[in-house]
Amino acid sequence: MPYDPHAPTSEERDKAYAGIWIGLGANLVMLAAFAFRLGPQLEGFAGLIVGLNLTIYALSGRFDEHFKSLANFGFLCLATVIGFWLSAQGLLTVVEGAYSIGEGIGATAAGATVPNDDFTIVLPAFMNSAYLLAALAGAAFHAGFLFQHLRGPQ
Amino acid sequence: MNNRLKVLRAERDWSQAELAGHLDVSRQAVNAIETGKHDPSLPLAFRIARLFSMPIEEIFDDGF
Repeated sequence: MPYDPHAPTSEERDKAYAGIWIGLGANLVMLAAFAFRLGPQLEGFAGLIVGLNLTIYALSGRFDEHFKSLANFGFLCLATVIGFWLSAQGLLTVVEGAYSIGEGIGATAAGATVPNDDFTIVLPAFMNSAYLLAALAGAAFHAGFLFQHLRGPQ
Repeated sequence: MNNRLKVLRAERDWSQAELAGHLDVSRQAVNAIETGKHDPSLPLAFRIARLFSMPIEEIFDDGF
């Protein structure tokens, strides 16, 4: 193994695990701030901590292999949440769009006029919140990390 | 995967933190390997084998 004068010590590697708990706490604050409208400052501060944590975990190579394997599982969970979210949003859009078109065709066939507004696809408001998606994705990362930490390899 | 890391560490009277220092990993990583929650990579397995001056297969047992 090549010598790296800037390689983190064992104690510094230990601290990375403490960072997960800080990130988890900030993530819970993100969700609470969104749910209870606790204000943009708190939302932003918690988001900053979670965002920096996730970025460092994804891009930095200065963690040991055990930490990286746990983080990899966390990122797998994170990607799964984003995938489910996009799939659900796409499905709702298709269903809503199909309903609007069907309604329009039916009304036209019956001789009625249909306002253009009826063709507008309206999704639930929370589905357009990038902040909520980011908070849920972050929560999935932390949950996955801790789950894998407790479970171990199968 | 079963391993003798805990026994070998105890024979040298090392703490998990001391072993982690020798291997350049975290204490949590040593604990995870000892409890079977983490299978080390090949480079780390070689480092462990070199540290204890033993062949890898005498430290790790894959059950076959």
